[in-house]
Amino acid sequence: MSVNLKLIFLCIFYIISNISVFGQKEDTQNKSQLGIHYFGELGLRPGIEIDYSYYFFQKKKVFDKKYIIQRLAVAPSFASYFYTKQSSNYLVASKLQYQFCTGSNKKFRYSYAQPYLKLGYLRSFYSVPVIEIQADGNFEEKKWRGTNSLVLGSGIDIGGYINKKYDWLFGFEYFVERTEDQLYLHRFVGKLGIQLKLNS
Amino acid sequence: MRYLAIYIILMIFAVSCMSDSLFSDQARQDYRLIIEGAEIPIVIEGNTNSKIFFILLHGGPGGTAQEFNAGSKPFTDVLESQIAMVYYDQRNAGMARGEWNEENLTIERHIQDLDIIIDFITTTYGEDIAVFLGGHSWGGYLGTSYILNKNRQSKIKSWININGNTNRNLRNFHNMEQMQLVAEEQINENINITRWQDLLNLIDNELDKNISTYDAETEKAVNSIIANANNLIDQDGLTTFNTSSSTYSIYTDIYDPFLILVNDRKGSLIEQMYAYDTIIDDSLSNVNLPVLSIYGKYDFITAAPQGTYLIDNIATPENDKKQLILQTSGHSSMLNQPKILADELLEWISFYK
Repeated sequence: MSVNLKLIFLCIFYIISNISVFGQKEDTQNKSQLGIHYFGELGLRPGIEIDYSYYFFQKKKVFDKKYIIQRLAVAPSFASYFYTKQSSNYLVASKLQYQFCTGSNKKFRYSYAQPYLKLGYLRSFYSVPVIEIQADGNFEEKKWRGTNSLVLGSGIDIGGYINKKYDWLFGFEYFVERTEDQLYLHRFVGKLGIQLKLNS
Repeated sequence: MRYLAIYIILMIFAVSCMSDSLFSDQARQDYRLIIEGAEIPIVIEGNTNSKIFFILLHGGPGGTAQEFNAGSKPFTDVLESQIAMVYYDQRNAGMARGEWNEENLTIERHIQDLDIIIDFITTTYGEDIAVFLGGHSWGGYLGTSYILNKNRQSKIKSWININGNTNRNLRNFHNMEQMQLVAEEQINENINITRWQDLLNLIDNELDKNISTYDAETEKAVNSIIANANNLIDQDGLTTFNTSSSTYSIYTDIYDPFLILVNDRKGSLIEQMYAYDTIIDDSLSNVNLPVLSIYGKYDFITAAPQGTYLIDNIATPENDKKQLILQTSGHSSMLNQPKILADELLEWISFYK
């Protein structure tokens, strides 16, 4: 990994941790969710994503029949997905997400849209034998070889009420990989999963 | 439901116990070979039991071997049933990754990479295998450059040039010559006369410039005429395409359209090819291994006279060199006449194995 990449990686984690600390000072309700999602790069390249959303800001408006809640959250996330005959990919990221939630005052149902920005680090490990030619002309197998990338992306989730403990979530995400070999790779992800309401 | 669960568990267990043997009628092995910072993907697929390995160099420069493996199944499936196909993406092209170093983007470096890949295959599969080298378009230029050296010739059984570019400067004149030939044929047949005549006029104008040595900039005028000619070929229905869906390969193989799309934007070898022409010209007489050269009649990107130039200038005995013209093919013979091309290759390989 290049020195620049390491520095940027460290900065990402510094920002993530600090935002979370500041968030804890806010007086908010229903503060966190754990999400588990199918993470399909280009739809069908299989993967899984786990994220933890911490809502550090919330504003609620109540009308006659419905209410509207707007919330901001930081969501550290981890995703793992696979390219057939090529690589296993591990993405550590942080999302800054805005949630627009609307629900009925009479029924306990609600739904929301949740756009977000994402910044992260991606490590890919080759899942095939990696061989390197040596100075003497012999070939030697190398372990744990792969590529590093910085990731910047955005997406939108649509979610809603299932029961007191869970929400459903469906989403679409785009991110760009800035790789060590100076490529910008475009990635499109479809997501489907559930959100576990931790303190409901 | 219980039986279904047991079945799924057994299937997972069976799949996890499967191991890829090096030698089988339907082998598939994937490697990443690290050479001078480049991480080159190599796919070996097909009948490795045959102990015949056919390395097919992709075009470009900057293309991908997945254009054969993923996009030309009607062609490669026929070959893979009989022999082992070796697909690799050249450095900074296709699915290749690794350090980006512009100093390594040279024809010489590509030749050395190919040489190492051949060594890797013989080291992995044994000295008793027969290696055939083939190349399409720019792959034809790379392969022709590779065989100029006697030591390197000794590592392969034969060189198979498919719609290959064998001399960058002459290519411009050869393409115009072939376009004139086809244009006159079409005019004589009273087909699309006006447009073919317009094309002839464009070629005359280009020839009137009296350019004897083209370069990466001046060849753009010829390339523009070629684009016109290819449109006319499509309009007149002179070639047909027999492709396979590469969408399927996105999910079941290593095909990654986004990586392939951006990878070839780094640097270019075109100008170097013009400089390298002299080396090819001076060294073709060193070549005495069997050579098969195949072109599409309607290939205006690397026209058939490129093959004639190769065949006429090598020292291979007459009986061991051959030029074949596919009558309803353009530049993509693998897509235009996949079965005929594959059968011709298998016949040649079978004779020289």
